[in-house]
Amino acid sequence: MAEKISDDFNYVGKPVRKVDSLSLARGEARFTDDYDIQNEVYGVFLYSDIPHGRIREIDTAEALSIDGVIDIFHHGNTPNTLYTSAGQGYPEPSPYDTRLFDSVVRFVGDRVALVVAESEEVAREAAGKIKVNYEELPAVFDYERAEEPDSPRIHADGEFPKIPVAYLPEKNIAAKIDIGFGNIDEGFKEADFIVENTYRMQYASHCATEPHVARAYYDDRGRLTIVTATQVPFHARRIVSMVLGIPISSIRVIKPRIGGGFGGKQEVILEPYVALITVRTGRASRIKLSRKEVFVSSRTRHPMRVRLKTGVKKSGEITALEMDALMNNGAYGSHALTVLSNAGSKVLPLFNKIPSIRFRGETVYTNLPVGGAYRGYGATQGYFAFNQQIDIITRKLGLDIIEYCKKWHIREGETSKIFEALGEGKEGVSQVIKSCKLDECIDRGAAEIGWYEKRGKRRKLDNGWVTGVGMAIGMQGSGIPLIDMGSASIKMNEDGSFNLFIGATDLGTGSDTILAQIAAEVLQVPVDKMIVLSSDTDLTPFDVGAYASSTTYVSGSAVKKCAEKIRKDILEVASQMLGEEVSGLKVKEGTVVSGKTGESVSYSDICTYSLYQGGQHQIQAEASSVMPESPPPFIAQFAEVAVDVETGKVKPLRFVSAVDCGQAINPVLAEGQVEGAVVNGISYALTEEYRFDKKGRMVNPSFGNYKIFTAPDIPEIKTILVESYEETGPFGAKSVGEIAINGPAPAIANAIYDAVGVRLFETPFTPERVFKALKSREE
Amino acid sequence: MKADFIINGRRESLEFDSRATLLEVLRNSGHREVKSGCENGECGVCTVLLDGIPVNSCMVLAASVIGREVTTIRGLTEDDDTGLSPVQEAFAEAGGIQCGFCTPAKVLVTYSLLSRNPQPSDEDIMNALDGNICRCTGYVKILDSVKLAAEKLKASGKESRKERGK
Amino acid sequence: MNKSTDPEIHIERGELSWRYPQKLSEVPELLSEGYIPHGGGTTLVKTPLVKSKVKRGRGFFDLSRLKELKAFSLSGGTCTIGAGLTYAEVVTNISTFDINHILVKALSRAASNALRNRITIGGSIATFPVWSDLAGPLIALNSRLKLLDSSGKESTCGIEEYFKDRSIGRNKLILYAEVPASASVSYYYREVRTRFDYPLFTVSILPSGTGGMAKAAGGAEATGIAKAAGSVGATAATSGPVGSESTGDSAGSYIVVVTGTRGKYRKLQVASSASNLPKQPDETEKTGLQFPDRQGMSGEYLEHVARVQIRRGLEMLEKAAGQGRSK
Repeated sequence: MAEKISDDFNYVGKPVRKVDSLSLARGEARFTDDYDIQNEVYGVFLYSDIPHGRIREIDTAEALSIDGVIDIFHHGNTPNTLYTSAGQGYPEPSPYDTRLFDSVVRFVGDRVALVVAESEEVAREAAGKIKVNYEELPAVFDYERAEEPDSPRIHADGEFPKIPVAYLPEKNIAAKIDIGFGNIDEGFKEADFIVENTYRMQYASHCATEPHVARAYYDDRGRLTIVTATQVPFHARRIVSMVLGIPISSIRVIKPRIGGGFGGKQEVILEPYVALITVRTGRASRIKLSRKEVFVSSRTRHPMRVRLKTGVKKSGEITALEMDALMNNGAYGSHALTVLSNAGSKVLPLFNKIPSIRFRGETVYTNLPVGGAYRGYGATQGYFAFNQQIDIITRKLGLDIIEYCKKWHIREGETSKIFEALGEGKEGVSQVIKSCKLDECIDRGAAEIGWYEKRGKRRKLDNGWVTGVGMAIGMQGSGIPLIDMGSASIKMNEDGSFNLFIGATDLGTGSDTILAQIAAEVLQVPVDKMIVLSSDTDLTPFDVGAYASSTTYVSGSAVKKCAEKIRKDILEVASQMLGEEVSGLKVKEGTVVSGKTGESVSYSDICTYSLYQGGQHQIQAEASSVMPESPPPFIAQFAEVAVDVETGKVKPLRFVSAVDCGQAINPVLAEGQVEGAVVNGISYALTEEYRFDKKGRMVNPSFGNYKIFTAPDIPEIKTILVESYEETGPFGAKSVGEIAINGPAPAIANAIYDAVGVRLFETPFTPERVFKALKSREE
Repeated sequence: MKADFIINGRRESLEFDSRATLLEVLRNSGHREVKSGCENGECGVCTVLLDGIPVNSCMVLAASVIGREVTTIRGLTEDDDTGLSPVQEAFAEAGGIQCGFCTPAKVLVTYSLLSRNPQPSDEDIMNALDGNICRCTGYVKILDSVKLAAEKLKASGKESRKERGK
Repeated sequence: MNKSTDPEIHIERGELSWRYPQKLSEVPELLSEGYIPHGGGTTLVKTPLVKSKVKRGRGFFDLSRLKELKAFSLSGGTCTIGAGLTYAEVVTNISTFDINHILVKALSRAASNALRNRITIGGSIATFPVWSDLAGPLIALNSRLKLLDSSGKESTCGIEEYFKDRSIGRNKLILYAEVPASASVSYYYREVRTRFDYPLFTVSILPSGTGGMAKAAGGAEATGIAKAAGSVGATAATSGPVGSESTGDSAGSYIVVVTGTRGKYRKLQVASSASNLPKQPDETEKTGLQFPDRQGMSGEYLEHVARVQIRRGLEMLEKAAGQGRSK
């Protein structure tokens, strides 16, 4: 069956209600913390209150004597296997620099011990009674100084990279990249002028409403079952097995409903510890982080400094581009190489006609909270720099940024050398762009925001507020080519329903639903005939998990392939039943119809026949997909802001995103992905930040002090899904999960410039920072 | 301590610590539909209705609301009912549910708002939801959901008036 | 079992004890026994006494059964706000007669919906956190408080007295606050990063006459605001209990209260127009608008913003007054 355009779809491209929406709306759906597990013990961590030190002694005697305390784990009584908590494919590109407990603590909030008790209160009380004697070591908090010779070295205990990549702990370097092509020096020489700027982005928390939580117990067959809020159940199983030396066959990981992830749960933080408790005590166990612990001791967005140097001709042609990125990974190197890499690999192909490009980057260790995967994954930081740089260049040249971007961005049928040069921990994969509707995104977005009526107009509102508009464009990827793998299996039931088993992890995004829609489209049955079960390592086939914008494209392709096998089997059985060649049959509304006679047989009859009558077998299939490419979605984003020139306050008024995500499998859910990312991006650009005291202690680890937007704070938001079709994707789909978080910061920065003529090179654009910029311009 | 509460219209006699919050008491007594996100009154995930108005159950000491009516999301539909109330229906339809962790709270706030203000302005909706964090939706489809819920309630109100008229 | 006023409630020995007075007359004894009044509980729930579940001892008495504390009345130009009323209830009550009352402006945006339904006037006054959206307006309104002590004696005090001398409120229960009913000519500003935030500072501005209440609580003599020292352009600052001179109506001057400053709040009297507000930092001492660094923002910056907002507020009120006069 040939692919069809979207109008011909029956189940794809439709705003089908989420398959879990009924149970979620009723409050019946269970999240990790909602399971009734009997006879459970609680684990509470004791964290380091110093930024760097060696533990001389841990005295647990008093804590252990408290009624209800069962055990206390620390570096002296647990395995010291090195691993990475990054939930990535094996072998992971992140350094193995983490132990369950270490004799060295590396940031305020590092794990020192785990108290196991009959109740959470008792465990917390006991944690307070543990006496730790440290030899304090000097600490480094400024990542721009981490490599300096007098900065203390943070990892010097045999930490190592699992794959052959540059790892230089002796210089506090957790990862290093240096790639390029063309002749960069010549390129700069050819240029009429050079634009060089340094941009900085800050720490941020994912702020999933559900804090990290994991539970473990032995099931009635004595297998270790871990119920956990994770984006990566299969990686979690593998890492628990490795760290604790338990065979994979003895571990089952179940991901129930999960209250948001955004990358924060692509990290195997709690699973090894609940497993440890259950293995050591034989009891069911639970660890749930408090909000403060989530802020300080889980994972964050990596702060990054990006220096961009561009050689530009008067014609506007960029002759050379040099990107220099420095990333702060905090105390451990989770995602050190790959987030850094993405700052280049997701950004630099966009203007693919630049003849000479060099991308250098380093990730460094500091004595601060740990970075990890975060929606956008380095592209956010890269695009913040890139989109402002383009705004600066076009303003310098007096060119219309809209036309400029349309002239220079990558187009269908084109490629970029970056695709091949820069992968995830190894070389990338060459690819030619098959779908790119960025021109249309730019035009429709510009029309929606009223670009030409507003740009440069500096409309004055009451009390000294002035408005401006700004734009940002971008691309992301759809999974990691030749690395990410998703798989699915389907079996048919005699009422014409299907069990769809997928390893893919729905973290609220609606992937269970869109994967069901893909299967439903192939099989031509309503989505409610697909019974979805996902993310249970005992029941579902493997999937790398929910990250890298991979699920729709990679797992979706697996589901489509699998459903096609089922359809073939169904047609073959129907062929026997109808006495007609398969080629003359087609599926329609849960039946197989004969092209000749118009006679039909229902799925229910087909399955019943196959189970009990002719050619008896279970109609079932499985399929896996690894994609040889990663077609980028494209986006154009527009901000209209008002700036209070007297105080520096910035108020976002409107925000428009026009996105080419290929065929949206479910437009409402696709819009939801864009809108969620946009608001997270705006909130990050304007208010979110980690503040530390002189000892590296985060001073604002609560929603009261770390502010994220709620409903009254949002601007008027508009999302446009531009019609597009990616031939390599399932029913034309690409990804949409991450891309929209990259544009808000640069679009707002560009809009601020448009309004008041000051350039913000560092997020967040707090009122005081904008005020200072306004003031220094005056002087 | 031990005392009665009226939870979703049913009297429940519960034993709890005198320092316990309503959130702890509800969850410990099996009301897992009430979620916990910060235990500091700052995320709104644990919102329940106390005598019909939204409160953060993590900020209410259970001992202070003995005997009062507590409504959780389960109170919006009948026990044996597998359906949804119009507000829940609206959230499911308009894309107001992504991860669903904050959904019970937002649905309850909406229900409470619409029961007192059936045709809220955008401003009214924003004010009602100003303490409920959502990181998934960007609030756009939450606002759509509330407006759709208002329409649905209006329509069902007309329906039931018609019913009564018969 | 501890003694409980409610037979339906059983409290085990050793637990934090709870009392549920039904009548105000039960309160003095509870106060003298050291019980802590519990209104909405939003502050108490964060105290170590509650947070640390392993600690034992002491107790609360819950105010929700005391009808007197839920009373709201309006007479002779004065609003009496029961201390047990929540922010949301106060907004609802005052909105019925003055939707622009400064307390409506301030409290309708305070904290969050769910918290506005729990935070009570009494609890908010008693704890006076720096971020309070209630304190500034009450000070500007020159509110009077009625207190009940452990001997059963009622007393009255001005809101500033209460805030300045914490011993006044010790071991007493706030029964109600009185404010002028008319305060729609007013300006309120809260410095926040997002809507649901606790203000870094607040600015409340009222025309001078507003705070002089016709009839004060318990029949006590009304106290107005100390009049500015005469000369045009000068600003007077008060920080402690105010003087005894009642100003009545001093046309063209404004009371400006800024909370969140060093020393918690400052009250200024600004004569006639916005242009009289000192703009130079070297006059800071005189007007007392110094701020500590908060939430990553410097004190200097906060002071700058406060001055801008005060000026805007005054301009707005002047403009409104001008329009009123021209009509």
